[in-house]
Parts: sequence; structure tokens; C-alpha cells
Amino acid sequence: MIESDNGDSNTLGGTIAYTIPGIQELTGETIDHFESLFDGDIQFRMQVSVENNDNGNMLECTSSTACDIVYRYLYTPQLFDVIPNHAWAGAKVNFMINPAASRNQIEADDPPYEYIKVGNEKVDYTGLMETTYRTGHYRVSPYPAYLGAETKVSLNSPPTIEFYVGLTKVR
Amino acid sequence: MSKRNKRVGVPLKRLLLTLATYAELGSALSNISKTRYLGTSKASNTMSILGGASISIDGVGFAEMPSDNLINFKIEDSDFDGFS
Repeated sequence: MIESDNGDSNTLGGTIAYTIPGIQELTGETIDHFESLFDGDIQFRMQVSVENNDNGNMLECTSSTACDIVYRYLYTPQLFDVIPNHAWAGAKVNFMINPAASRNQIEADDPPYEYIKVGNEKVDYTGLMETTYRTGHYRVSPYPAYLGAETKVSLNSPPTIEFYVGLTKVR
Repeated sequence: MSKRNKRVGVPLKRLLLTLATYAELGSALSNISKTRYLGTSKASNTMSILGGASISIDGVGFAEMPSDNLINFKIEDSDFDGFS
């Protein structure tokens, strides 16, 4: 559980929040390891259980899908390039991303991704694309944005990109 | 079998959320009605294999707001089972 999960949880309203770890944390193997073994889809399934620690009772799942979480390679966005690949604070860049199947998970009114962070700052796409901007499935497409005005990066500092489905693989 | 078309399904682990509630709150716990992305109404639980998605687990009701440290999360059965 991370700090923001505490803030996002609303136990009075019946909701708890949790940020899901990646397979590297779960298995000790890197994504590169799995990619070297399989070219096709990779799937993992995790069962969520909630236990009342006072009496040891497990909370019931109201449906079979309510407590399942599935990790899928086909739902893993991929960053292929940043153009230009030498940039400075405030510069406009294009993040070349294949959103994979993650597009299916975006609500109609929501932004195309959660955030892109370069160095210590999130990027800003105001004026460059609409909130409703969508790209094709399984197609590498530009996501334009301005780097933050105070962005400090060192050489070879890859961006962190989060879609609703989770983190983006940096190729 | 060509590795290109091979699908890998692994029954992996159980994410055990332990609600270390006070006894008087225990009876107010109900069930898990939905697991979904935080802040959305879409109950689709398929995600990136790199993790990082914020999941909202609904239906866990409390009679009153417990303090933050009453909810503990842990991954149970942490040994990787290998491929099935």
C-alpha cells in the first residue's frame, strides 16, 4: 500500500484503494525475461481476498469477476521513442506510444493517459491535444506534450508513463 | 508449438488484504462487490503486466472511519509457481 492509497480509500463509503504491484515484484523475474520466452500474449491472474482480522472471516465476492485481477501483455502500453530525444525544460516533444488494448479501458470523458513524468515533473499537453484524444489500437502514435518548466533530467532518464491499466513498458 | 502463438495462463497469487478492524467495526464489514480502476465506473480488471494501476475495491463498508493503519496489504503465497 502506498501513501496515496490511504488518501484514495474511503472506508466510510465502502471503498479501499490499492496500487497493484507488477510481475517483477511478484515473481522476481523481469518483463524482459518473459518477453524472451514468449512472443504472444502473457497472462497472469491474481485473486483479491479480504479478511477481517478480528475473526478471520473472509469477505464474500458477489461475483466471480469481482475479486479477480488479470495481468495481460496485450494490455501493456509501450513507449517506442521520444522525438526529439534530446530535449530541455519546457520543450515540446512527441512520445511515440503504442497504447495496446489499454484504450478499451478509458472512459469517454477521461484523458488518454493518467500522466507522463520526465525527471521530476509531469508533462503538460494543454493546447497540443484534446482530452478526448485517442489513437489506434496496437499502433505507435504520437502523444505530444511540453516538458515541465522546471524539469531536471540526466542523460538516459526514461519517462514514467501511466495509463489507466498501469505502467508503460519503455522499449 | 510456435512460441509466437503460445498463451500463458498462470494462476499466480492471492492478494490478501487484511482489515485489522476493531471488534465493534467487524460486524459492519460486508462483501466485495466490485474491483475496478480507481475513479472509474468500469469494472474491467485487466491491466498492464508492469502493475502500477490503482484499483478500487468496493463494498467493504465500515460503520465508522477507521484510522489509516487499520488496513494492511500483503501478497500471500509469494513463490512463483512456474508456467502451467
